[in-house]
Amino acid sequence: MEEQIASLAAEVATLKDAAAALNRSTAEVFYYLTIPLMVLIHAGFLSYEMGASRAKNALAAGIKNILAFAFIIPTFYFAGWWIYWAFPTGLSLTAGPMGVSGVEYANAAASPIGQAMGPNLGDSATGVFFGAFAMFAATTASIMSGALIERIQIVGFTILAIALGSFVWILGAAWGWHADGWLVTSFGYHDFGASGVVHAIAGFFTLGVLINLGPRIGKFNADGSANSIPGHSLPATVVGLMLIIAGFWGFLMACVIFPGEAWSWSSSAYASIYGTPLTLSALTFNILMGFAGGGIAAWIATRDPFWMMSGALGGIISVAAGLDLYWPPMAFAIAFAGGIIMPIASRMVERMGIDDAVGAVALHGVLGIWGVLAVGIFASGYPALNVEGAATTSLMGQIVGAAVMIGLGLGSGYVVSLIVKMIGLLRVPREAEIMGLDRAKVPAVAYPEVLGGAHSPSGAAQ
Amino acid sequence: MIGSPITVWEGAGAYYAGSGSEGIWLLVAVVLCVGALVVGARHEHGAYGKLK
Repeated sequence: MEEQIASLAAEVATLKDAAAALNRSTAEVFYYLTIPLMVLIHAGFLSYEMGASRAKNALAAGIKNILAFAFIIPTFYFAGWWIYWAFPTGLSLTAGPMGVSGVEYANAAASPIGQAMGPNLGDSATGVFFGAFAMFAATTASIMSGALIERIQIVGFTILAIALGSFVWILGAAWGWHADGWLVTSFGYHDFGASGVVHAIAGFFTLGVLINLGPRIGKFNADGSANSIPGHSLPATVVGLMLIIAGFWGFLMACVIFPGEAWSWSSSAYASIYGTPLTLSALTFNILMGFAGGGIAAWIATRDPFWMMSGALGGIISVAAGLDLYWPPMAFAIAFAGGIIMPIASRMVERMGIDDAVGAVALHGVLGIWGVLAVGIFASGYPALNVEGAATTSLMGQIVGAAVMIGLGLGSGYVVSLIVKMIGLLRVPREAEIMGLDRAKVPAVAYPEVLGGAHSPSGAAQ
Repeated sequence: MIGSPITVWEGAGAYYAGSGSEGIWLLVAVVLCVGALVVGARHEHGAYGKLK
């Protein structure tokens, strides 16, 4: 009898170890898979922005995209990941109520010279979490880059991308996308899919930059009326947008906390970054409804395939903050409203004399704010954290969050771009803009048969 | 029609905002879809008509 019990106990112990190993490896592969899906976002942005440029500027736009991604990886490693864990309670670097924040926690979890930030057989999570967040960071820079095409210097843009991706959005995320974030603990701010902390911050940062960058030559007439400057390939732009939407699924998947690990919120249920329970099923209903509502509304409002595809993306952004909370037909209606708002907002930005080449301020900035406010209008009253006495979601809480995202984004975008302008790195010279940025600085030709051959004898980089 | 039907997460089942008014939102979505097709058809036929 005793031998049988001992044998059973040994088998149970083996099974528990096996289950723990399976859960650990499944959690790790869950986040690992979000990363190639999010790289799809950047494949999409490449196609989107090169297509939105005139042919003479196409490759310069592509280089901008590749460099933003490339520079954000090391700078997010140096600083961004640490900022997320250090600053949730504001600027004091203190620990929050859940004890997963503050300078000591950040030094242990995210120091770029610490043992957690490299190959470590005892840590199956830090690298894939870091990777997912770094991809969010790269997405913020890509949101900005389309608006600035055809007249921004490559190095100046890269500096702005580093500022937005590795310092600014991640501070907003520490405040509003973290269980210890002061917007969450004090105001019940809820932003499951980062409508505010990624899209609104990036959109308004972009507005701050556009104010200092100025419009493209020929965009506005002396009487203030605007001219359309079409890109050279609308098909490439529309396909690019669809790829961004495909990659967005990876982004939203990475917004979820896997269960059953020591760092998980729950032993059995998926959860938001805040610890509130949810299901991937719920997200799937509402992501699809968001795509549909936004795309259909933009069709009615514009008939234009560029705006329709932007509307589909904008529909998802409109419901991203509450993807875990909405009844799906409600999400459809919220996204539909977003698809109507977007072209109106874009026209208003243009009437302000701002040349946003791809409508990023309207699509990401304004619809990001709509997404944040929609939670307050349609989904107030939920506990914002899964603990007793947590603040609840409310319209006032979402308004406070929206104001913080706008202020943080717009203020830092304006100041950083002003500094970049003062050191002469913001805008290309007039001659280069007129000639075309590719001829001016790229050792390759996008369409040699149309634009003329490569301008170095061998075609190799000089 | 809007807002949370729950006050605690413990034991929550169907917890979505809009609980109790699912049919109204469904009607809104159906009207938006059908309306979009009607408006779209009018626009399309108008565009073809201008060619004649």
